[in-house]
Amino acid sequence: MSITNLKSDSKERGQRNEERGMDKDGDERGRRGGFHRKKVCRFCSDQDFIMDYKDQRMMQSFVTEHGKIVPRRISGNCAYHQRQLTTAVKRARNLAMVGYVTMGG
Amino acid sequence: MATNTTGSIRPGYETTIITRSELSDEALKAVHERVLATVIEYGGEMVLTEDWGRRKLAYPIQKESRGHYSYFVYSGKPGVVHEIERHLRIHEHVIRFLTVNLEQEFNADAFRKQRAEIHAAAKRREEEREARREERMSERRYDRIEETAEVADIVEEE
Repeated sequence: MSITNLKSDSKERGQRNEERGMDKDGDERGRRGGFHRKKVCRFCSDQDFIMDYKDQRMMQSFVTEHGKIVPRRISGNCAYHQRQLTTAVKRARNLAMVGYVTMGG
Repeated sequence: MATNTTGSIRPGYETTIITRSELSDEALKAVHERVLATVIEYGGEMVLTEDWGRRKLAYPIQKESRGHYSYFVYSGKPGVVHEIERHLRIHEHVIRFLTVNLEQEFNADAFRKQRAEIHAAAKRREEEREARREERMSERRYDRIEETAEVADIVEEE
């Protein structure tokens, strides 16, 4: 029993742990649905990224294809900027830069 | 009262108008001039005018699917906005307009500078996007070349 053996042993255990992590009933997993990345508000993190109803491209990244405003839990915006965003999107809608909500036909 | 020295602080407004795309340049200019005249009449200052050109509308307005966007930033005594909007409402080729009251403390020079910075940032981002797209395209092309080479190898083997 040398050190190398021990090492491989620990490696094996690590693999086993990973496997258990994949298991449905595994205790290793903290959250359902896999790991979760902490989202950050893009407006807070990037000073260059400015809220502006005139910026069509910026608006489109926070609006679904149906024209709905992407919720905060998806986009990761902070409450302050989400509030600003909703007014900005509504202004942009008025100027026909972003569509109103359309469903079906 | 009407001291329009640069750097004076007074309330500012921004108006975006959409005109019919078939409106001639002269007629559009007349609209611009009318707005400018109103601003001056109300003791204000035209801070910025921008022409965004013809754009596709997200939804048709008055059966138009394209429109010409113009953007003004100005200051003035109370009532400017009312007067300008009254005129825009009468004008039959203006299909949509939106006025936003900027913050109360308004500095013309600072605003101009800020707007230029925004434009620069947008341009920079656009360039970055373009670069990334090109990179992706070249990668794809490379992949395709490899694929065709492989196919050629197989054919040769056969």
